[in-house]
Amino acid sequence: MTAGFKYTLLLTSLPVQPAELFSSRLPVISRIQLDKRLTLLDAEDAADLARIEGLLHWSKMSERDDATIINAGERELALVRSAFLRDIVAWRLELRTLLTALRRRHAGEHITPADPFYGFGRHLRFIHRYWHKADFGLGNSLPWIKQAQQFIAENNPMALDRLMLELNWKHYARLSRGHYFDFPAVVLYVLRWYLINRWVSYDKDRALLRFNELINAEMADVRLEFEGKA
Amino acid sequence: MAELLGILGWIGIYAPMALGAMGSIAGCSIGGQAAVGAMLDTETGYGRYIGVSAMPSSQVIFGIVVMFTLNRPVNIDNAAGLFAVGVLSGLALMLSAVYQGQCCAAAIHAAKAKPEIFGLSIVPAAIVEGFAVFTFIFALVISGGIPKV
Repeated sequence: MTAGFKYTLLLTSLPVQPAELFSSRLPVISRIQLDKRLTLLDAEDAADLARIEGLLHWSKMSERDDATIINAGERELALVRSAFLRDIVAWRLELRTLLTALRRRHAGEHITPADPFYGFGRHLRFIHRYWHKADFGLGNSLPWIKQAQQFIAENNPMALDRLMLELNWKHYARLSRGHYFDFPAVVLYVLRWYLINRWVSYDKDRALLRFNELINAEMADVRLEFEGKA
Repeated sequence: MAELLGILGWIGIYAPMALGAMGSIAGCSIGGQAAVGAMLDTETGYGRYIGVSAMPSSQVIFGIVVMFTLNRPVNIDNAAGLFAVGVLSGLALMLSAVYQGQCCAAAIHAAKAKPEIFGLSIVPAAIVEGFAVFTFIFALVISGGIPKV
């Protein structure tokens, strides 16, 4: 009767997230403050949340080859105790698999049914079988895929990213119904926090500055030919 | 048989108070956690959060009054009536307290983000309270028909 209210204290202590992702200008709570509140999770739930974050967020991943990432991911996913939470993670990983396939095809790769293609979820056989089709034969069940393919074809990563953020945001909002003070509500809050954080961190000027810093750092040791001749 | 009826009769007398208390414990705990959580995220309105979180405490008071109303020497003629009225009113009070606590938690959470809806947000909790009052009043009314000796 009270199981759905396990994390009432934790969730009421967190600021309410906006209804619309793109109206956000700042994260409603800093990561430091969020982590402080998440100490209220019990040990098993905290471990599940860490697994989910590890599976979904690039900052928590290490660079490995595709097969290792997929195998390790599937092992980790199986350790998440709730089927509802496993579905949340699997949905996002499937989405990334499809996006990867779209990008690889745009880059000129050709996959035959005999070639290995590593990814998560139930769409792998469609990707293999219908590599030549713009939507991998999934356009009816996944209407967003045509739009994503179009943005990739137009080299419009900003629009593609916006589409993906919106897709995730709406999916999480849909799943949040019926989960107000339980552990899935905490997980969905954290996942939505990542989306907000990602959206508000988009800054053209800062990106340009960072890009120049990276270029300068890489070019620091490069001596151009004409400099030596002068 | 008489002994069993005696036991049931005593259960019936104490049930409204015990079950009402269980409900109030759970309800106030849920509401209280929401109030404390909201205090971490806001700078004002602490008193009203705590006030709302205490709403489910009324069920235990109703339970105590019903218990005293039912309290009488238990015999073969009144044991079944005491059991039925006591246990059923106790269960209703317990459920109403738990669910009222959940309504209070939702009200606190909503009012924290949108203080202007505070008054409206506690209406669902007040409606649940209304059902607890029905249970209480009609338990008193119906207990008048249970033989005292």
